[in-house]
Amino acid sequence: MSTSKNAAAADGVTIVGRKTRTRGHWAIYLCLIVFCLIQLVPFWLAICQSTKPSDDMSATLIPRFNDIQWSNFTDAITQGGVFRAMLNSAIVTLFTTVLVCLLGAAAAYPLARRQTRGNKLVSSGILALMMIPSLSILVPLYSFLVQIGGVNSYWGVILVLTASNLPLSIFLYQAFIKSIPPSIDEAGMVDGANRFTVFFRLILPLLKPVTATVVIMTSVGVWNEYALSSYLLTDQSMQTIAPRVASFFSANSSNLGVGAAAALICALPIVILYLFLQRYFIEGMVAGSVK
Amino acid sequence: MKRTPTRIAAGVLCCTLAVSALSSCGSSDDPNTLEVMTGMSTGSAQLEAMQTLADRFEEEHPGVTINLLPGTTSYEQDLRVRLAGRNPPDIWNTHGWSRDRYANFLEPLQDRAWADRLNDVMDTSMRDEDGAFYALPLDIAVTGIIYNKDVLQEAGVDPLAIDGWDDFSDACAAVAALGKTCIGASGKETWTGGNVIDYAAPGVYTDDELERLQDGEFPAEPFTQLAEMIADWREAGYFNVDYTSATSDDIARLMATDDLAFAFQTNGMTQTVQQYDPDANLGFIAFPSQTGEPYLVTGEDYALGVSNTSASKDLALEFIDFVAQPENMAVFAPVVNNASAFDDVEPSLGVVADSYDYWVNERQTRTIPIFDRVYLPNGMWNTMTTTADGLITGQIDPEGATEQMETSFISLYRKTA
Repeated sequence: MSTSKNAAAADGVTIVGRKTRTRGHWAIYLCLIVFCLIQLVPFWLAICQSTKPSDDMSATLIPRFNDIQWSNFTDAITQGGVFRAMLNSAIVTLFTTVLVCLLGAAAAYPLARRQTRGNKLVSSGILALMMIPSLSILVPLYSFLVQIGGVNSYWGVILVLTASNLPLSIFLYQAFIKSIPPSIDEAGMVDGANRFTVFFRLILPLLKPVTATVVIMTSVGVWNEYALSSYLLTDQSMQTIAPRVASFFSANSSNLGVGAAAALICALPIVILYLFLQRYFIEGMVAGSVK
Repeated sequence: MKRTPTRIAAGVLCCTLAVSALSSCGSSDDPNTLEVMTGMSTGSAQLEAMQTLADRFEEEHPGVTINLLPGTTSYEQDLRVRLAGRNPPDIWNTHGWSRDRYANFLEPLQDRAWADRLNDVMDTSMRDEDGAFYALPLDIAVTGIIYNKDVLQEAGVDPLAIDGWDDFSDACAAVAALGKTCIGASGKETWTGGNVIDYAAPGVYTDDELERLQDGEFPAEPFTQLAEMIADWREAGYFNVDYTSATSDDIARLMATDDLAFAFQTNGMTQTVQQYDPDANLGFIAFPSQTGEPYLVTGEDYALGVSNTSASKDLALEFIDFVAQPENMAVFAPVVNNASAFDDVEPSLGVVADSYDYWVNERQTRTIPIFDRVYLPNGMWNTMTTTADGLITGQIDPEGATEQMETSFISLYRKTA
């Protein structure tokens, strides 16, 4: 009797627990759906706007699929030169990311392995650099780039963006390298390897997880960068995506439909890329947190 | 074991070489290339007109390239950074500031062959004490209060009967009774609010008080009256409800949808409104004055100045001379709905032609220069926009607004005197 009572009670607990879990799941799903909708709103607005001519004053959230204003897209390509801007963004992103990874890892290795007072000071200095907003040094930076001929050039903007992204990558690499046992270095050196060989042959291959994090953070940041690029790249043939799209909006007039079309065209390759590589993106984003 | 470092070193070297090679794609100091900062958005009618002029010039001058740079919403900052970095473009749109802000960076143009053809309307706002001026005005902003004829008609308001600010407030009450917005301004682009003070201020000061302003004294009472008027408009709900988040473009859209009655902007705004509604029924009225007759505000609008440090200065001046030719000025006129700076160039006033004809030709309305550029010390514009913003949002009361303006006025006057 008591056994059956206990069983019934256990069943009751299970049912209640299941209900609670189900409710919890629904709450999570609801939150996720709301979050997805919030994320999709800008895209939806851009799609709606890009389908309309400038004199279409209909509701902003309703697209015009029956008579799409294709000229918005063709103008974005011909007048806006978005394909060129995408190529420029790809070049700047690729080289900046490669440099940030290589230099970041190389700088972090001695800082992580030799914790002298000087190195601690350097590490603190690098951390402090992360706190300086890029735009606060805009004028001296711009003047310097003018003097060395770096304005409106790939190498100029790549160097600037590399410098601005390096502190975070050094910080991440340094934290990761500290978790790698020094005995690996020692074993390599016993085998006759010098410091460079130890770093390139033994340590660097172990940095794949944190490198994935750095690659994603750097490449997404550089691809979307606007604040510095808008000053350093003024020539249309050199501009990256963000400044190019911004040129559709001035103080006196704006070209909303074409601007939205340009933004959509520029976002498309990244969205497609993300759809195919999302597993790697997610793995990369969380990899650095597991040592 | 030794090969990997070599590979990586080779990789870095390749990157460096590739980046160096790519740098050749950047701009050069080619004396046959002119860089023109236009401040106009990509695809706009104004930029297209400029492109037509550039194409014509390139056709007449084989080997020359005119590189027109579109502007963004941060055009002023972009220009400031370039000037601070000693890398000004060869030519730039001075957007109303050729004398007061950019004179030290620009080549004087009063000796060019076309200078004699300029009409004298611009003298007060563009020439300095020695008669020098620093930009070729592509048009003249003859500005009143822009209004939507259909909205006022629906509200039963006769715009031509607005003779004082009380009449204007009555008109606003009638518009508000329809559930529509009376005055459009943008909190994101605070110059639209700054314009309200800039354009209305001359109507609250007497000639004597204006002279005192020029002498470095700030008569507080008239400004308090103006501030109270703006605060009253806010309290009555005459400004657009989305003021804080609206852009100037939103204001144009609001007028295009017949939801807005008035805007304190130059006639260039009518171009933007017509972009959204080609049939928009627009006009302008003169600014009412408490101290005299109604007035219109004239000032520099689109104007091109040549950098005095440009490596291609002669070519840049040649381009300016080319643009000043009547047949070329006529290309730009239809895209700004403003008066022409040259007597021999027919203005194309578009939708505001009737209003211009009435106020300028028929009523011979007096014109006065833009208030802050003549009566306030350099740098007051920023204070004026923040003061207007504070009044429109209710963050500052009229007395506080006057105090803010007075403090800034005295401080800046001492710096610039």
